[in-house]
Amino acid sequence: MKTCYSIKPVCLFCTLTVSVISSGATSAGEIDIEQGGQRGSVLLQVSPQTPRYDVELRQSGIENKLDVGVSNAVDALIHQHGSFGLIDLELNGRNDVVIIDQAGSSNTLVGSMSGQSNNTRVDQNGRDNNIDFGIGGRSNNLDMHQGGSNNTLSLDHSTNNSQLTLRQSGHSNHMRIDHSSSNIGLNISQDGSSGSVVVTD
Amino acid sequence: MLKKTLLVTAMGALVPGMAMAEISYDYHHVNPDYHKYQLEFKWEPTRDGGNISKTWQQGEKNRSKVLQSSGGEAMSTVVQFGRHNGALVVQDPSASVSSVLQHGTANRAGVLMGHADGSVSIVQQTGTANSAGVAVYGEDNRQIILQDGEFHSATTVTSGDSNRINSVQVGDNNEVLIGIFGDKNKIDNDQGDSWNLATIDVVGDHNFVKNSQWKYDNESGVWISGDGNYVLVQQKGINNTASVDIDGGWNLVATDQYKAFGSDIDVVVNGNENRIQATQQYSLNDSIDVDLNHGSSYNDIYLLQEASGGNKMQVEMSENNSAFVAMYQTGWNNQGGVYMYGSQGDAAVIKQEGENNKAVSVVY
Repeated sequence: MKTCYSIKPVCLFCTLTVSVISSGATSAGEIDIEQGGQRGSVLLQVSPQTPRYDVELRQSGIENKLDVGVSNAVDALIHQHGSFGLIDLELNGRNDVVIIDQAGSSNTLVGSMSGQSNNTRVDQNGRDNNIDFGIGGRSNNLDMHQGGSNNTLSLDHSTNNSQLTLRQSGHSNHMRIDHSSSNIGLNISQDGSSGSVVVTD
Repeated sequence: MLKKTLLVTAMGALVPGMAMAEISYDYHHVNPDYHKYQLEFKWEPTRDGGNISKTWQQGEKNRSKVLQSSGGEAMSTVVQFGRHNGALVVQDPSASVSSVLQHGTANRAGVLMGHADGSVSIVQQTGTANSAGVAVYGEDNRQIILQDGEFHSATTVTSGDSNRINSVQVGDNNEVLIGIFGDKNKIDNDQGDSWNLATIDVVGDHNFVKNSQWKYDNESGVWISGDGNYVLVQQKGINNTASVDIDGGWNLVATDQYKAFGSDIDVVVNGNENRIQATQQYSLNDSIDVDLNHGSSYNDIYLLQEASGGNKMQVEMSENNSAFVAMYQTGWNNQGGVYMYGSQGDAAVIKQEGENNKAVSVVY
C-alpha cells in the first residue's frame, strides 16, 4: 500500500521544524538526519516492520562518517559532501532502494548489498575518491557513476539475475570488477584518459 | 509589634467589612513548658461570619490553634517568633484569609481549609528547618507559601478546581511537595538557591504547572495524570535534574535548562497527542531522555541542545504510532539518538552542527 507523507520545513527552535502529515490506512515511517561540521558520525540501523520506510541523510564537512544498515523496504537517500568522508553501507533485506550522492575529495564508499530485489544507485564526484563494493544475493541491481579524477572503483560481484551499470568519467580513473555470477547484465563505460578497466570472471 | 500591626492592616485590607468578632492575644515569653502556654480559639457556628483572630507568640515550644467553622469571611493571623513553635489553623468558611508567620528554627505551621471557596492561605517562614503543611478543599482558593532560609519543607495538597498555589523558597536544602486533585488549577513554584527538591503531583485536566529553580544541584519532579495540562520547568545552573512523567493526552510540557552543566532532563510519556519540548542551552555534559511508552500515539517531541558540548539526547519508543521527533544539536562531541521499536508512522529529524557529533537511529 502506498503511504503518502507531506513534509514541510517550517521552524524548529527557530531553525528547523518538520511537519509530518500521514495519510493512508497503513502508516510507514521516516527519519531525516542532517549533520554539518567535521569528524561527525551517523549510525543508522533500519529494519522496519512497516510496508515502507523513508530515510534521508545529509552530511557535510570533513572527516565525516556514515554507517548505514537497512533491510526490508527502505527508501534511503544519502548525501555526503566534503572531504575525507566515509560511507559504510549494508543492505541485507528485500526491496530496498538506496540512492547515494557523495561529492568532494578523498571520500570513500564501502559496502555490500545482499538479499533480494534491492536497487542501489551511487554518484561519486570529485577526486581521489574510492568505491569498494560487494554484491551478493539475487535480483539486486546496481548503478554506479564516478566522475572526476584519480578515482578507483572496485566491485566484487556474485549475484544472479542482476543488472549492473558502472560508469567512470574523467582521467586517471581505475575500475576493477571481480564477478562470479550468472544471468547478469553488465554495462561498463569509461570516458577520459589514463584510465583502466579490469574485469575478472 | 510593628510587623504585626502591618500584617493585620494588610489582612484587613484583603477582607474588608469583617470585624464582626475579634479576639487578639499578644504573648511574649520564653516558654520552657509548651503545655503551659497553649492558645486555642474556637468559634461555634453562628449565622454571622467575619470573625478575626490574631495571635502573637514569642519564645519556644509555643502552640497556637485556631478553629473557625462558622459563617464566612473569617480571618486569622498567627505570628510566632522563636523555635519549636507550632501553629494550626482550621478554617472552613468561604472567602476566608489565614496567615501564619513564623521566624526561627524548627517551627511548624498547618493550615486546613475545608470546603472553602475563594479563600486565601498565607504561610511565611524564615529561619532554618521550618515546615509548613497546607490542605485546601474547594474552589478558587489561593495558597501562598514563602520560606526563606535553609532546610525548610513545605507540603500543600489541593482538592478542587481553579485554585492557585504559589510556593517560594529562598535558600538551600529546601523541599516542597505540591499535590493537586482537580482541574484548571495554577501552580507556581520557585526555588532560588541550591540543593532544593520540588515534587509536584497533578491529577486532573487543564492545570498549569510552573516550576523554576535557579542555581545548582536542584531536583524537580512533576507527575501528570490527566489531559490538557501545561507544565513548564525552568532550571538555571549546574547539576540540576528535571523529570516529568505524563499519563494522559494533549498535555504540553516545556523544560528549559540554561547554563546547565551536568544537568539532566527525563520525560516519560504514556498517552496520546502530547507535545514535549526540552532545551538545554550553553551546556556541557547534559542529557535529555524521552521515553514514549508502549501504545502511545501522535506525540510530538522537540529537543534542543545549543552551544553545547558532550551532550546527549535520546528518544526511545516502542509500539508507538505516528510520533514525531525533532532533535537539534550545535556544538561538539554531542550525541543524538532515536530508537524506535515496532512503531508505525513515526518520523524523526536529527540535525547536528559542529565537530565530533554523532547521530544514531535504530528502527526495528
